[in-house]
Amino acid sequence: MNSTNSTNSNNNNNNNNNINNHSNSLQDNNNNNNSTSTNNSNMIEIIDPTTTIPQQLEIDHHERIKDIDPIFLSSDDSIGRGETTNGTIGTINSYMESLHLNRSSKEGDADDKSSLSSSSSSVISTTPINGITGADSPSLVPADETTTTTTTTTTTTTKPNKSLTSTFDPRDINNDITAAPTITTTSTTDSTVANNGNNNNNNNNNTCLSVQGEGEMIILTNAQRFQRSPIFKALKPPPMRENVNGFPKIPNITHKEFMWLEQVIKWSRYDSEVIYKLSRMGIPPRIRGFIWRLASGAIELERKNIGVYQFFLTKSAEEYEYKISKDISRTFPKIELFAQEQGQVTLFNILKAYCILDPIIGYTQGMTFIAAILMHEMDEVESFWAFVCLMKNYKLSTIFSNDLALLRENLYVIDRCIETVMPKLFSHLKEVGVTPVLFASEWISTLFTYNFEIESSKRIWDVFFFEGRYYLIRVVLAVLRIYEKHLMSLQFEECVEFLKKVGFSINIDYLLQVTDTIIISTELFTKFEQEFNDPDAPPSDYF
Amino acid sequence: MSNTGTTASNKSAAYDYLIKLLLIGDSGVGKSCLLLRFSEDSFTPSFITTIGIDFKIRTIELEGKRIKLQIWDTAGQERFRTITTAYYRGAMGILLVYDVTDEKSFGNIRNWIRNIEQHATESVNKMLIGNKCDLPEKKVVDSSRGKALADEYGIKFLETSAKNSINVEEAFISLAKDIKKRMIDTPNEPNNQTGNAQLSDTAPAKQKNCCK
Repeated sequence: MNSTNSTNSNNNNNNNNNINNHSNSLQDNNNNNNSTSTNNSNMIEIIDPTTTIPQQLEIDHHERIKDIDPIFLSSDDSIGRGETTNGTIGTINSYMESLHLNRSSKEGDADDKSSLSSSSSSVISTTPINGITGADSPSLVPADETTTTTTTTTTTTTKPNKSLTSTFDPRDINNDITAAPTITTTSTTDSTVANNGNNNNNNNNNTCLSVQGEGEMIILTNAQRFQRSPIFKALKPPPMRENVNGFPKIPNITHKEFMWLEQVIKWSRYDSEVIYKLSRMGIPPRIRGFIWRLASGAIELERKNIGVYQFFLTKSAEEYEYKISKDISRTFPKIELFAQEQGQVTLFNILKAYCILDPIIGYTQGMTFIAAILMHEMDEVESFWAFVCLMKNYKLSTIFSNDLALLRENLYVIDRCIETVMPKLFSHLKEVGVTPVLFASEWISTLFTYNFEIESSKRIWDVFFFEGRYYLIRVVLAVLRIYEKHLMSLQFEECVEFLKKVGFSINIDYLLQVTDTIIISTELFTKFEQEFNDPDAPPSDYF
Repeated sequence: MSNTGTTASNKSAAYDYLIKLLLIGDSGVGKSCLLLRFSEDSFTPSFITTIGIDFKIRTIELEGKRIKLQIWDTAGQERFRTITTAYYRGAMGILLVYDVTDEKSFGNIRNWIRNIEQHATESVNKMLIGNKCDLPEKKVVDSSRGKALADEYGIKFLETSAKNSINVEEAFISLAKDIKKRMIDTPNEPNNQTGNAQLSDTAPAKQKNCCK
């Protein structure tokens, strides 16, 4: 149905350029916009998995929960205070404002700023207010548009739910996993009503029309902006949708899929033993993307930030975009999806949007491989939010920070773990001069995608999504354990060469089995991390 | 001089001397392609981004000596310097690569030189490489500017094409020759001390390279 959407400088009026609006949704828009101006949060609202999957927390996922970057917790009280959850609008609005402030002080920002302001009149306001999902799917008022100009273009942005294909109502899942304090009771109810309406109107033709219009405008805008990177002239954001895709609709459900489905239905109290076993067996391809999104918190996050991705794409981060564009065609060039322009543009979009969301981390080489694997299992918007969850909920973003802090820390921890678990191998590696940086930096920074078979990578991820980031270190150790004897016989060059390509031939089932036998307590991991970060420690022979 | 030129008698690929080279330069200038062209004489347009650090080997013969070149390839993004600069110290020769179709990569050469001054041994041999010279219609960095910059730093300069195999062999071999001349043929000059210590088999040198 037609979620219409309008923005203007004061949020007080609707610009009635809306092509196809129903009065109800228009009303919603007014409400939404009004609440925007009253909300002063300065944080983007991103799901807090601690509240999403409480049982996971209690059982064995402490590391992951602790790992959440507090900046991204929805600690904003005002969000849930009954001003409708459109608190998020203001939330992101303010977030973007603060972001601009931060960025303006950074080098290379002049370009960016000017492009922001110069384009503010031509960029469509992608404020995706949806009367449908209503308050539950808050939309975003771009910061610069609320403050800069009254000539802001207004566009209706609505789209049929391209792939709302749930076999059961996705709201069931969502509501089930949504224990997040940021959602008010009122808004949840609203959304339920609204969703029903939406489902009935999925095929509204008018809606399609308005979507087309939006797409064209964005293409134009981006074409102007991307004159410098010709490859990405075709940059085209995905259409807006109001609902977040739920459990995929699949015919002839298999036994394994059914077992997952059972757990999904009771997600907030899933059987961790069953999940443990299922994840090791590999998530069936048809539901893999969904399970990854669910486990990482991406579904919830996306649901709360509908339209935000599209908004990010209207922004620019030239310095990073230049860097990303250098790597796009060099990411899995042999996989068809990424050899084609559409796949490359999508990959570019996802990474660019991440730079807008997290300009401090921005883009680092290695990220493209992670985003690419996500894209292999889900659509563009879903991939983006799953990527954000990997970076924030799993604390991987600091792997890619300016000084690669977490990567170096991980390499140190791996070194210490080898010493602890395989002392003989450790001595040998030291003797021949092989340090983890030579083989494990790619493994860690691309989550075992860079030099592993893509199917093996996905199998590792199937478990990783439930186990958290220390699992990555255990996989490294498992590879070494499997080939321990062989490695003992190799000299420096052979050893590094062997490890660089071992991922292409390793038996993934065996690797996962062995990984489960590598038992290192969280305390020990923490101890090694502290060693690395201890300023008083004697200089290690590490870097 | 005892550790100058370790022979690799215990290895299948025998050699008289081991020389370590390092490729640096901005992301996407073609470092890995140059290396692939030199080490395996091949080229692929579908190349994959280098993450972290890698190396390839090729043994050449110079004036009757078998010289094993261990050539290190690095990720181009500045952020990876926190990891890759540890490998500058072990390098006896460094190829600074820019892309003749990318002004920015040429402008950054000065930053890369500053990095070398900071992290590599003083006497390290350097060479400036302008890659992708097979694309004259896209060329934005004129040869004369490359030459001028190289002259300013007193280093050699070559324009190469990994794709069309232009000057690649020449670049690596000419650098190797200079290093051989500096470290093996006239090893007694005082400023070669550091280099000599490293002109050894991989293992011990490697260990030192990793030390802080």
